[in-house]
Amino acid sequence: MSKSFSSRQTEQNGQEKVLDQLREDFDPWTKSRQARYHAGEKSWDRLDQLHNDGEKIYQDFEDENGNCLDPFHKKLKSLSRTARISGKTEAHPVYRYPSAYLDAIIHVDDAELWALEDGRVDDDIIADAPETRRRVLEWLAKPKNEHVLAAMGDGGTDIWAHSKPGGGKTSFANVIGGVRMTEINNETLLWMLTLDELECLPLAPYMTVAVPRGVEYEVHAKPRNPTLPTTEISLTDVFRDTITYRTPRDLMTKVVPGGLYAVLPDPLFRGCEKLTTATYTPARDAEEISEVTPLRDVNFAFMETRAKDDEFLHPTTIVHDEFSDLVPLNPEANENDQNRKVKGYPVSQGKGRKKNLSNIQLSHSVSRCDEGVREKTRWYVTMPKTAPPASSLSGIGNVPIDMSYVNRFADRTGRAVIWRNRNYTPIEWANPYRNYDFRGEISVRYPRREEALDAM
Amino acid sequence: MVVSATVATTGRATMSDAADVKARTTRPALDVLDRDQDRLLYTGDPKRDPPIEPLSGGFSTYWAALTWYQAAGIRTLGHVEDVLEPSDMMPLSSVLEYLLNARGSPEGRYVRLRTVEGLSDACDLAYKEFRERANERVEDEQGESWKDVDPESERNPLMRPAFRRLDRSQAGALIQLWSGFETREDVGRWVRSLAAPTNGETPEGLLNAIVSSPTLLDAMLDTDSRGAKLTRYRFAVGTVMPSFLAAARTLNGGERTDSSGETHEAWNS
Repeated sequence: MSKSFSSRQTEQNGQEKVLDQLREDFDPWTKSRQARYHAGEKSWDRLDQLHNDGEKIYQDFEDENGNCLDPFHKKLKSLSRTARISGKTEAHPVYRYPSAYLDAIIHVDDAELWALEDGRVDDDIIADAPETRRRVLEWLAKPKNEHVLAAMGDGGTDIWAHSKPGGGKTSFANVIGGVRMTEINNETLLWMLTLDELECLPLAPYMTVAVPRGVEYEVHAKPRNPTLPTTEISLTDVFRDTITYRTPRDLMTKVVPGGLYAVLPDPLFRGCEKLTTATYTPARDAEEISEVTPLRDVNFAFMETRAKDDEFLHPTTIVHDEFSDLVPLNPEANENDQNRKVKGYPVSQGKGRKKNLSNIQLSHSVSRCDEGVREKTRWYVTMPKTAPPASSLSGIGNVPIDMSYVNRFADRTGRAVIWRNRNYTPIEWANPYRNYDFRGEISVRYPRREEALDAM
Repeated sequence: MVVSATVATTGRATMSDAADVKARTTRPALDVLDRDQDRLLYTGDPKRDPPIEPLSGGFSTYWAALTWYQAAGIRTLGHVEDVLEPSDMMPLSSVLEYLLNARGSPEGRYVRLRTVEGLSDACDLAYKEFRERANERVEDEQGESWKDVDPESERNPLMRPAFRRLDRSQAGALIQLWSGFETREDVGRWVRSLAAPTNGETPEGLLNAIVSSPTLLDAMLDTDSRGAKLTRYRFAVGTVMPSFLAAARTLNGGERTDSSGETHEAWNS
């Protein structure tokens, strides 16, 4: 009796330790405009005087020397300064070939391009932008950087990062998508979660979780340290706050410019069929396991509503993890209309691009994905020890780099080569996982869905 | 002479002045040292963990005084001891009571002012000592280096990651000591762990000295009472800090923060 009491006590102590660690690691940032907005109407006075999350996040990440990241406009200035000192031919390829990288992450619309080309940096459209964005736009307007401005396209961009597991795809999406894009574009980020692992943890203190309304869920923290127990936690032990949504379209009416959202998929797929005109079958309605729609298929509906419904038009980036499962090669015309959904993806990608929708797609393989998606995607990021796709692969177009270039410049995790058609450049980013000490997995379960699946 | 003139003008520099000073030296690590010393004396450093309270404003707690003393050891290469000996930092010493700002008396303000002035010299000394080793900036013919180093954002004392390591490990050891220990074994392990933050300068027989003194051992194992905390403070200042300061004096600054900016490597975004 006393033994079981003491073991219970030990487990309780362990759980408290896990919770304390999480609260310390993921102390939420609540002073931004986005945080105050989601805190409810009582916090809405003077929202316009607050900073955006993007103006703060980069300051909380460290480079390899332990210094906080420089703002992006400073990075740009140092690029153009080198070009001035050493001559343009000696400048870094990021600067010489802006369409390789800068065009992918600096998002500008028509009106901004027009103002920048005319050098009207005091125009409201530029002067009223958040400071971190305004400084980037001012840099673009400088005559010496006119070749960069000329390379900028309007609308959204799509970046496909590929590597073997552990190659750095997730850290790329965290730093480039979550840290830099929010800083440069005041971008709204929608990170489509998979349940078994929350890959966006480095951004969690600034993130709002979008939870499907009325769905029961459990969240567990599983520390890697075997002496600590798996602990049930609530989403806000890790993330800043939560909002609920009924349908993908409903969520688009609740997100705000510059907000970062981790989106839990709706296991009931409400509103998805109407958006994609394809079949979605929740586990509770299915008779056979093959009929049950994978949760990741909600991504198609989110793409479609963002591209079509015009509820939210601010620059938005959607992160799709495990992309080769989402849009596989030769999708079947099965019970879940996989073929129709996959073929619809590049269509909504194209429509969305004109409405400032960007995508960051992460997968192991490029060749085992649908060719229509390959054709529509413009930027590829090849991670270390990863072979770039062959130019002969249908839909891929020209591949300007080879394995030896990747080996030479993307020689360790945290580096990669980004390329598009003829242009390419090696890039590097900070390790975002240094920001917290918790080592382990945070996972989400839908018990009702699991029960229905078990009953089959 | 030129050097001390620079220090004299920058010693009381404000944050915006620091940017002007940056343009004048060709040794970025010196700018960083200068800014770090400025934080110690005048502006504090809330971003450091634990935060540094500025000496000129006085310390709010014993803990703030202790962490400041440790940070000052690193940032003056141990020379803080020339002005403030460990005995000055002991409770009820004639100096420490005035460095704590609780009373806000005019005498306190005067003592702090004089201490800051005294420390300015210690900072000078560290600056001169370090100057020879800080000759790393590569310039082109236009007098511009590849990358400007911003002393505001540089988090490594003297731009040396090794200094930051030492600083962190010393601060970490003090944090552990401050909260006390659960078991005698934990005390032993903590003493073992002091080898790194003292660069191997741990006093001989330290663990023996702790366990053979019942009062001290009790204080180590009492995580609650204020009296025990004060005993640990005395122990930290009287026994641990001299080793930390000795470690700071052995720092000679090997590899510095990389700011060379190769133009054809991966671009760090």
